[in-house]
Amino acid sequence: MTDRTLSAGGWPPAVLDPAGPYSEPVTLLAWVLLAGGTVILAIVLAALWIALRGSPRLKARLGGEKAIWILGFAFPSVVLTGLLVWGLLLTSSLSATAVPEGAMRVKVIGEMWWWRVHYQDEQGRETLRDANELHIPVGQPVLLELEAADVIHSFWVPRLGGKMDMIPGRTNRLLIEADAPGVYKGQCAEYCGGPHALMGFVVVAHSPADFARWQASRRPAEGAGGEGPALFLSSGCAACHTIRGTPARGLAGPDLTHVGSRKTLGAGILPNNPGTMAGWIADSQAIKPANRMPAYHQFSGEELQALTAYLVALK
Amino acid sequence: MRSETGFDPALYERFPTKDERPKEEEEELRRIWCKPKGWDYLFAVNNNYIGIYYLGTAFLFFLMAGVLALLMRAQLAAPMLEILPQGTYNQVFTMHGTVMMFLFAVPAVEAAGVLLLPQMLAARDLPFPRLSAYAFWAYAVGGLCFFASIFVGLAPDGGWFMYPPLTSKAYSPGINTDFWLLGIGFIEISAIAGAIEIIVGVLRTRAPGMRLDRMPIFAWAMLVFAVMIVIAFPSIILGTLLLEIERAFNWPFFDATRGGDPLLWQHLFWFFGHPEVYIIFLPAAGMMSMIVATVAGERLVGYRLIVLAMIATGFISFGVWAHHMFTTGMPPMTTGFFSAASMAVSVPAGIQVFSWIATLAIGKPKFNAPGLFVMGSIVVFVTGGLTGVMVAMVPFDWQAHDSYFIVAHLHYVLIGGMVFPLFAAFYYWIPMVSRRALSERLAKWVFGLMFVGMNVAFLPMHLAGLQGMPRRVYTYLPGQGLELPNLISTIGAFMLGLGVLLFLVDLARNFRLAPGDGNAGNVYGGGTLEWLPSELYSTRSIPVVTSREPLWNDPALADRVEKGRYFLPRSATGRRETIVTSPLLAEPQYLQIMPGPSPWPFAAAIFTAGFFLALTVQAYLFAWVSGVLAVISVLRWLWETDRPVEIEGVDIGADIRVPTYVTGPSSHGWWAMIILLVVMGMIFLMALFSLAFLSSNQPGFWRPPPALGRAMPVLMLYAAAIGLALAARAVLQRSSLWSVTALLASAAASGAALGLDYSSWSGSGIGPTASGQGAVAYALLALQACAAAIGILIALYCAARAVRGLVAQPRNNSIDLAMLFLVYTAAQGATGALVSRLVGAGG
Amino acid sequence: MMGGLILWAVHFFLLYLLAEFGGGASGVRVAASLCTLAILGAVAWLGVSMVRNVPQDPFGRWRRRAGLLALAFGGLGIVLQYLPVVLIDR
Repeated sequence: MTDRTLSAGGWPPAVLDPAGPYSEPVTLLAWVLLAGGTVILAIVLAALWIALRGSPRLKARLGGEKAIWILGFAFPSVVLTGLLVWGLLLTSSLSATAVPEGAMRVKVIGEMWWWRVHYQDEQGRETLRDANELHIPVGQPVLLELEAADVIHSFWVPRLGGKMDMIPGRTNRLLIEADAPGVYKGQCAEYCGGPHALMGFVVVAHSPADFARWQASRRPAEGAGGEGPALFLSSGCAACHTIRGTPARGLAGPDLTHVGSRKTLGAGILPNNPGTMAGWIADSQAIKPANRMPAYHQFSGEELQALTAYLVALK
Repeated sequence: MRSETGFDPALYERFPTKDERPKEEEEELRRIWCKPKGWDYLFAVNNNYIGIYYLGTAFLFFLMAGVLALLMRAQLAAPMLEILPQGTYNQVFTMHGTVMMFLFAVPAVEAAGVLLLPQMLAARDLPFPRLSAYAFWAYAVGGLCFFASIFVGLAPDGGWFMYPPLTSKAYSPGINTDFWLLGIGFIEISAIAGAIEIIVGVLRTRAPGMRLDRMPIFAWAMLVFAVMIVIAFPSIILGTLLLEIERAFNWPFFDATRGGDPLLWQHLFWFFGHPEVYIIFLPAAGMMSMIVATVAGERLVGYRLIVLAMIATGFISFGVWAHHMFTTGMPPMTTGFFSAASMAVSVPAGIQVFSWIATLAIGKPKFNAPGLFVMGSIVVFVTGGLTGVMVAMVPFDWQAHDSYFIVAHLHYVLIGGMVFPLFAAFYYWIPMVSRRALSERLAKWVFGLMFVGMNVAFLPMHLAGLQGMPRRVYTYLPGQGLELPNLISTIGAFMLGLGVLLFLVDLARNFRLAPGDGNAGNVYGGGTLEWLPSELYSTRSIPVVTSREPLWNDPALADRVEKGRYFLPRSATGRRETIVTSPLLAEPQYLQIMPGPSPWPFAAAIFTAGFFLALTVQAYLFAWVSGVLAVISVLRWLWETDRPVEIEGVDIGADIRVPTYVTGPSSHGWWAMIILLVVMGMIFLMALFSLAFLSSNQPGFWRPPPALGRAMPVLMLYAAAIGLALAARAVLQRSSLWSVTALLASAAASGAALGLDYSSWSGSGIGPTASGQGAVAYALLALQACAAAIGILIALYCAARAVRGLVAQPRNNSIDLAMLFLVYTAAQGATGALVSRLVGAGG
Repeated sequence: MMGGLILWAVHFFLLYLLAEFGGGASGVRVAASLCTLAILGAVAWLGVSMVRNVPQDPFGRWRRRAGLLALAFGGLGIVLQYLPVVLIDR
């Protein structure tokens, strides 16, 4: 599995490095537009150069209404009409108006400043809840039903497709698909106040066999022994978080049933390991200011360790 | 040649006149249009002063918003910096966008219009000088108070687009958002006032003979600009009203859980917001067209093409608003419409660019300061235009939208399309108002730093956007390759800042205000009328215009104008005055007597600002006192106007006689009132659109409105109100008291109709807080209540004038305008009563 | 003088309102096509009448040529505006 999301050198840029059928045509379009734009800019610069420094003969050609008609009206009209036709056809084919056969269905709900993920079966019944991470099989289109719980957010995984807003009162649909296994970084693209900058997530694409294994592994973990579970219930954690198979049933925050197996913490911003987990519990406000989880300075070192050990074991 | 008004064009042949004009005439002009002294600078209304104040204030906002930009770039220089805390950063980026768009860009071009148009058109002043003064002071005081909110941490933090529900009470409980709505309120007032001023000024106060096809291209640009404001601003006026009402009174316009819709705000905002971009760009393009011709030393190539291109831009820009909403899940076909219009709107821009290049090609372009900025502007603007075509492509926009690619695009367009032209204009026109021109040597450095800095700052942002960096982020994570482009951007931003700083140094060294006498004059050799020798009264006489560049075609013109050989070489009535001409062919129609300096517009502005500010900080008593004082100040300033005239016809030169008082559709007041009513009509139309939009998007919340049959008495009362208002004008020749009685009766009938309408809604069980439907229905009633209240005020004002014998017969402008307003009020009320009962009545 | 552009605006808003409030896909398509035909007819009629009537005075001639330009802009815009109706299903 290639993971170039959190360590990439920045080239090629995500939008120009497509990884699925819903992003690839857009990348081609982007390249054509960038190249065409450069050529047209060069033409304008050349014309400006001629106007300023050119030979009298060339200047005379440029200096009249005919030149304006050709360069300013006829040429753009032709180019723009061509582009528009391409753009419209692409819009039609990439829109989630017609849902492909056999598409997997997932509902994703944007919240200030994280993501609820509800996996569904083909009839749209909820099968599994998770947060801040979306697992998909490669080669299968995924129909996302995008909603918002509070303010407007926008779902964007540049390598898999364009973005789509999540608007209160509406359900928007977006199709994505990955061609190859990997981890694809996503980000909220609509300003949603406070730590909008730190509202990320990841999409993990598995080969079909791996995806089946992953699905099978989605049962509540046994959990570690020790003080952890009791601390979780007694310290207020359970008021906001759910861990299936335990009395923790809170709904305000992310479901933590499988938090130990997540790639990231804090909605796509930290790698997940015991150190970051402990740091997040103790003072998430220092890491992601204004997020909805209070800092828990009151835990002693041992308590924090126990709680961390419990949570990282929730695979 | 055909005549438009019956004026015989052969009379133009009488000019230039031969006789020597007496010296006293000039002295009298100087006395009448004298310089203010001491505190009187606050009460000045002359465009030379207001224009400079206006431009200076707008430039101050540019500097302050620029400092905010530098703060942001410092914070983003490296990942996870903590120079600006998150909350502060969110306020700073919101203020940067808001201040640049609303408090700098729009006022700056409007200010340029106020300052330059009378000179270019050879009018003595704009037709409503006191309105300009009011608009300026409301903007300056309100804007500065609004800006100050950032120093106390109360600045808005919802982005300059203020999308609810983030900006609704639930998610923005503080008064930060209210400060935004307040700040915008001021700019709405001053923009509308300025638009009225400019439309009437351009169409009615041109020099005789300046047909539309001889008008300076900048005047065309300002005309299109002003008309666009009249069409576009009502949408944001309504939007801000609704959002404030939702916040204050819990009426759910944008709350999806109660039958409102957050997308309604986006439609209202962008129906204003995108034309806004062209509202900013067109005047700047107009300046470019003027400066290019002078820089090239040749007439503008493709004048007609450019005029048409600007008008076409004005039209098409109203079909592109939803290209800011391609990712909101609109039906694909609808996105296609907006994509197509967004493509189409780039054609006129291309025409203008190639016209400029063609003009440079036929001339011998000089690389002076305005020339450099003009050329730089072309390069930067074209780059921004090309990325604009990219994002007009819906699938590409799905990727680029709300990413740094857009940040790059919009700064290329706005800096290339507005800031650089404005700097060119500073260099070009400052000699008109300053004793010295700015330094050409320093200008090369200013331009170099700004041009290079601009590209270094914004070119890498394209890349950052494609890498996946979203907009409006206070920081970013390390390890995504974003470090380098962001660091480069920051360096570029500070280079740009350094360029502006150097410009300030130049201003400090060379700018010496001299709006009247003793300015540096026509250092670049322009050919239009603003380069005639002028003083505070503008030019000594008003020339007959026979071409587009009169100064180039007739080198002796300036001398003859100064000797008073043309129209109005003196003050004909001993008061401030200007010639009003016909809209198409600019034939002299009458002499407008203009109001002079007065403290009342200033007082009205201060109290208006006090009203809004006090409302924002919830000091209600102070707010109401201030509001009442504002109204009284306005009435007091009006009281002195529209007086019965002593001299009915005057000689405006060469024995050509025109009246000094005109009523009815050819008077400038009538025009202004019609424009105001168009603004009100557009606000109302957008409210009706809101109703239709919610009924189609939230049908589940719709309940049957009150029955149509019950509205009959309402409609009949409104019909009576229209009849009474019309009668008021007709009976004026008999008796002024009967006339104002009819006006009062009309206002009362409208008020009664509104009362009936309201009771039928409140009896229907639909309340304003219950659903989006109720909220909009009551918002329509509230709009109507505003109109009705103003109508009553106007009728009372006319009655007071009649009692004091200030209403001249048989025709009077105050009565005419009151009639127009009351007819409109009743028509709006009737339409609202009908439509609100029809929308969703079937379902 | 601005006839071409006014026609563009009428066409644009008709199409937008049809799509926003119009309901079913095929109905919208037919209606939008009819609208476009009618508007293009108006453009042609305006064009023909402008080509035929050449005013005598210089300003009238200027206005006429500006009007023809507006028709060119408007016509191009109207054609572009119609493309989504053909190329996109709702």
